Amino acid sequence: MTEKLNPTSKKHMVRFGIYMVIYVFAIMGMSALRGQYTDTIYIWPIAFMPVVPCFLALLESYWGVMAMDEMMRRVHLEGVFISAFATGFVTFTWGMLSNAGVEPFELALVLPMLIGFWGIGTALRKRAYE
Amino acid sequence: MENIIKNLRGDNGWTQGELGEQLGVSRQTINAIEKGKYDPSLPLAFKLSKLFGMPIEQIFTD
Repeated sequence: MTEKLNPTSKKHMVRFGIYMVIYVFAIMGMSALRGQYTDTIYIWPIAFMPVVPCFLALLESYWGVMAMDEMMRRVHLEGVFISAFATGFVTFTWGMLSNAGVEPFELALVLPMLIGFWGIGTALRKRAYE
Repeated sequence: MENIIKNLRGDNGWTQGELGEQLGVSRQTINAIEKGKYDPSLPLAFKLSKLFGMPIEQIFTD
């Protein structure tokens, strides 16, 4: 996919990937440290750890898409639309099912789900222009 | 919308990548425009018009 991107977009997408890797490590770090530090002074920074790389990844993805040419930008925005629709539908359905006793949806999963559906939606929409 | 970009590009001996480079877009975008799967924006259509020295309405037809 990246060979179709211009150098600027490629740079942003590589950075996006790096921040997502850091995010995964931050999640693992948070899980490991959470049980060991129960003092309020530590709880907040530990809980906040994954938010920083995630925010940076989102910024990079935005700049990456904005640096694409007009058709690729359109493809990605259509992918984002599909992602928003799918994520909204899944979380809404889950919310309704929680009335029937299904465990509440983990809110921290919303963003990874959005990003996952964005990838799927973009791949689907890209085919329409080939 | 149909267009004659493939012919114009061929007349100039350019590949899709070379044309895309001159216009600041990807080869995939040129390919999609040539196949009529993507209609370019007005600024890009003007760039094509300027590059080939033809009015937009001669390059693109309904």
